[in-house]
Amino acid sequence: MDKQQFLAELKQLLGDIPAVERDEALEYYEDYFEDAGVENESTILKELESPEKIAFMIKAGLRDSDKSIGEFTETGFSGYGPAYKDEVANTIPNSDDRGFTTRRDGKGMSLLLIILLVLAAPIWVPVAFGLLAALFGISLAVFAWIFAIAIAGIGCIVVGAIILIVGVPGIFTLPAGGILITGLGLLTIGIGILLTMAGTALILKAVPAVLKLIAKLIGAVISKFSLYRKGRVEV
Amino acid sequence: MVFNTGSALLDAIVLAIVSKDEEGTYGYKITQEVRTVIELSESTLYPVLRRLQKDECLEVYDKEHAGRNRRYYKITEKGCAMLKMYYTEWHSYSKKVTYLFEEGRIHG
Repeated sequence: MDKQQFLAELKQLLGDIPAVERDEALEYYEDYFEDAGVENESTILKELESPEKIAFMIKAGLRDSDKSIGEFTETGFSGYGPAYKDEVANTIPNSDDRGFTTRRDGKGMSLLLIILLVLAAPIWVPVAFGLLAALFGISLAVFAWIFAIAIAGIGCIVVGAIILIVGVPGIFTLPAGGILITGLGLLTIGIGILLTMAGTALILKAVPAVLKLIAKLIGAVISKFSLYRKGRVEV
Repeated sequence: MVFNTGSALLDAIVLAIVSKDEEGTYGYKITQEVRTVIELSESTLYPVLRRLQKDECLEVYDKEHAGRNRRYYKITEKGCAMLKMYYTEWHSYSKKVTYLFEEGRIHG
């Protein structure tokens, strides 16, 4: 078979596709032979195998491109050819739907989720418990720190007052030493007042904030769960 | 090559080859260039080019060459965008696979 025979046979085999497609394909393969050069004609003929194979591929391509219209849309890159995509769509019912909005998915998902939760109980129960304990521990530590600051402040005030009591009479016996000690006492009282104020402010601000956060967390978990249950009830 | 070339990867390779030439390039040359990277039978390439053309990723025009009209393929704006997307996808995909291989026991 030579080039002319090959192309004639291809033309005949493509008799049942649109004329535009047939002309396009024939032009392409004519070009291909021309560009390869006469000296390569036999190699090309061997490579192309047979007009039947070329015709088959062209027709398969036409079917594919009909099917794949709109495959590459704004939703992006599917990563698979149309054939694979169809296969996936057939094996997974409603694979395009999300969540439990449809009857089928809702039931399937809730059942699956329950089974999963039960099976995974040995894992998530201790983990959840651990997380809760950690949260509790951290909150407690924060409270303790704040509390310690306030207590230290009060302690400073008390110590300062004692130093003052010792220092004030000293002014009369040993003026320089007495004034120094009195000053130290006042300084300590000042630091104490500041610490107490800081501690109190923190307690007033931080404690409600932490409590609010915990309440929010628990609330979020509960609402998510009830939403999920609602989805189940609806089906 | 031991690895299969999926249709998406083939599309990406073809787009990349065509995009190299501002003037566009022709079927025979595209085939030869694709073959420097992957094994490909000629019967595979034409449907790919035709599809990319229909998807408006490639455009064709005829140009005089050695006393006849030769069909040239040129990348479109949409094709460029597609190629960019393929490149991003490929970059992250190949990076992950390479990383996995390097972590695996291939060092002997």
